[in-house]
Amino acid sequence: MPEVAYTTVVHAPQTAIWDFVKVMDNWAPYVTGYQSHEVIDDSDSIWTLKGDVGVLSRVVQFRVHITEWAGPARVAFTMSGIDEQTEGEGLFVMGPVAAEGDAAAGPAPVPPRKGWWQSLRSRVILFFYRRSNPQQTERIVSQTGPAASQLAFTLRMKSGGVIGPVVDAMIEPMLAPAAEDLANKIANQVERLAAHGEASGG
Amino acid sequence: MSGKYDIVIVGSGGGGLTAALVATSLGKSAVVLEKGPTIGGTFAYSTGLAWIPNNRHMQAAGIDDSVEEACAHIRSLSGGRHDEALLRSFVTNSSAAIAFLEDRCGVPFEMPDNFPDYYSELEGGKVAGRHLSSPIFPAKEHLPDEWRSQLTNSPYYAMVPASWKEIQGWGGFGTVATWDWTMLAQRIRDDYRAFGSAVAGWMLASLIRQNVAVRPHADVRSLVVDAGRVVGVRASTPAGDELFEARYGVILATGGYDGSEVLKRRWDPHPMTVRLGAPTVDGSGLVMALEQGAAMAMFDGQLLVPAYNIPGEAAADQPLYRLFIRELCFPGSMVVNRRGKRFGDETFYRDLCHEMVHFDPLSQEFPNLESYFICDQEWKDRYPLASVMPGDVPGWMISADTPAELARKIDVDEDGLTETIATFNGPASRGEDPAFGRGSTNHGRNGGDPSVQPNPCVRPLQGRLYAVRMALGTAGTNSGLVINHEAQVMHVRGDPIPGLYAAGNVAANLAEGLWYNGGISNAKGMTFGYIAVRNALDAAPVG
Ligand SMILES: Cc1cc2nc3c(=O)[nH]c(=O)nc-3n(C[C@H](O)[C@H](O)[C@H](O)COP(=O)(O)OP(=O)(O)OC[C@H]3O[C@@H](n4cnc5c(N)ncnc54)[C@H](O)[C@@H]3O)c2cc1C
Repeated sequence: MPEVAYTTVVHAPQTAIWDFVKVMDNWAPYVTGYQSHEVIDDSDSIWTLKGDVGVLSRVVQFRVHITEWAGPARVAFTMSGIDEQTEGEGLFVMGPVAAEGDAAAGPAPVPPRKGWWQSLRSRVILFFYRRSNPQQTERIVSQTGPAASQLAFTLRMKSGGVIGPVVDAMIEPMLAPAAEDLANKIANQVERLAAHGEASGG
Repeated sequence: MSGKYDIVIVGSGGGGLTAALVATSLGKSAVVLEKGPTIGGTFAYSTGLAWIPNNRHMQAAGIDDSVEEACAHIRSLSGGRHDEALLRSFVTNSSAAIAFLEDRCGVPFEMPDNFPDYYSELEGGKVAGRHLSSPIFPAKEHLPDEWRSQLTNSPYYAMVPASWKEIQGWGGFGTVATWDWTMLAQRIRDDYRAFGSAVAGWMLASLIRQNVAVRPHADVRSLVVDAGRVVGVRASTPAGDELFEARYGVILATGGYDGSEVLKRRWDPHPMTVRLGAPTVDGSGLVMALEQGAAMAMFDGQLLVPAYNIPGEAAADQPLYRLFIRELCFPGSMVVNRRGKRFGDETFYRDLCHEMVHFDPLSQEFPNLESYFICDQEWKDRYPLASVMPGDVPGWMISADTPAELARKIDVDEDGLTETIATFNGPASRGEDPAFGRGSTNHGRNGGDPSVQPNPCVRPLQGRLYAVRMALGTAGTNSGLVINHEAQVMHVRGDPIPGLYAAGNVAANLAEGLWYNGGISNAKGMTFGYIAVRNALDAAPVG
């Protein structure tokens, strides 16, 4: 099952992240390939995304169901393809910055912060990825912001049906950049709002 | 940044890559200039089959063939529009070109079994042996990473990294549900390429190994002429305006003009097609040659293919239209027009497309252009439609329990469709199709479902019915530059233009006239790329 986890430090209080994340409209456009979303009720929405699978792009619709709405620490959701046999689940965890080697609490654990080799490796991968994906967001790290918090995003997807393994193989390379991009864009925006003393909505 | 090479090649499809390999293997320098960001052209989008008569693989398998038989076959089917010298040149050189690519350049080919000629029943036709393709290409193994990402992958076949020979061994496309998709997924992770992308991959790997200059993002804008001889090209590249000089010759391998709406409207009787090939195949090579007085031969428009779009699928920023050929051969299906009437043998797409562009002067309309593929529940349960696997029913697929209800949903005449299915179903229960002869050719039957007998293409339509809107696609163009048997581009006044050669779809269908067989486009590109370089190197160099 393709799965990615990405953690970023946000120079803003945890409540600021929560205030931003709890309003879906705030960050929906930051989801890679976002086309539109339609809120059905407090816990359900339909998302239309455009996924680039190699040379082919495909517009797909997912029904997203919020399974845990536990502010200011966690939001968990499941997603299921409307015309595709692809299911997934995601988790945002907000909290204080974890110390080296710590694991954040929660059912989908945020991986320990990266060691030097891991982070070098992911920087190199990211460098090459960004060269071919100019839209990929650079993390603008604010050095002067208020106390730092941590935003961790975990995403798992699994495709069913006969060709499920092949669909998963094609989705895999997109997941890590998508998760990083979303977390980084949220972090950048939360910091920007915090720096300007603006409310983040909701 | 300018350069001087023995051979300058414009375009990186099968024609261009072959030309570069031949030049390099003969000890000459070559540059491949490709306008797009990746290498391979429509060739790499394609199913990668090449129609090579009298090839060594069929000889090894004990299948008889000869230059005479192949020439007789094409001659009798060309509608009188072929050029005899070009035909002979193609037939005699095609097997030599493949042998050269295998022996001298490390580009492997293999012969899938049971691939009949379209007209295998007619003079000189064969039921197997003339189609060749490459085994899968393990890109990670053979190409450095920076080149791997510059090898075009097919938007159609990237999800199925398997060779024709393997697929036939697994029972063909009718048995997808039983294939080992976990193994195929691993091949995707390992970046294996298939079909046209595999052939292009083997070729590119050979060029990169030999340090040949291959330049994506090099958009050739004009030919450079000195004292009546083509001596180079000017290209717009990321480095600016570059001059590439050619000592022996310039080879145009730029493909046809199927990516240009303007040129299609100007030159073709049926411009209302959707493009399936690479978007950069826009006729620019042709226009450059016309600027130098090249002659052009007009044929029957485009290489028409039935197509369909899965809503939401796109490539190169436009809806992705897929080939609709194999699916039409499976039993339990038919194609109808707005009146609910069939209009051709669905197992032979050329027949169907010919009828789709039929213009009725009484009504002043194309009565078959808007058409629908109709299949029944058993078809849906057994066969795939691209990534829609047997049994899956995506929301975009229109379905109904009766012909009348289905007709209403797709705005087709209700009585017409009801009557067409009823009329078809009677004889179909005996495996017969008296109206259009589905399954009456080796080619049609080969595409059908062998488990359905007596006719693998015919069975009555029963139970719930499904409809998919068809489109008229173009996979290439038939009109183009006039070349002679040495691949030299001819001047409109009759003589060859010194220093200018053409290979592939940029040239007109002069080797085959109005005949067509699957694999001939790729075969012509590679063969005339081979011929062009050999002849160019016979001339005295400039400079
Ligand atoms: C889905 C599909 C399946 C097919 N399957 C088969 C098959 O199995 N067998 C078969 O025989 N045929 C098949 N065809 C048709 C066949 O692939 C094409 O006819 C063939 O690729 C044409 O080859 P080519 O060498 O002429 O040029 P192309 O492969 O079209 O390549 C031309 C190249 O030239 C480049 N170019 C154009 N202008 C310039 C310029 N000004 N400067 C620099 N570069 C330029 C283009 O970007 C392109 O890369 C298929 C087509 C499609 C769409």
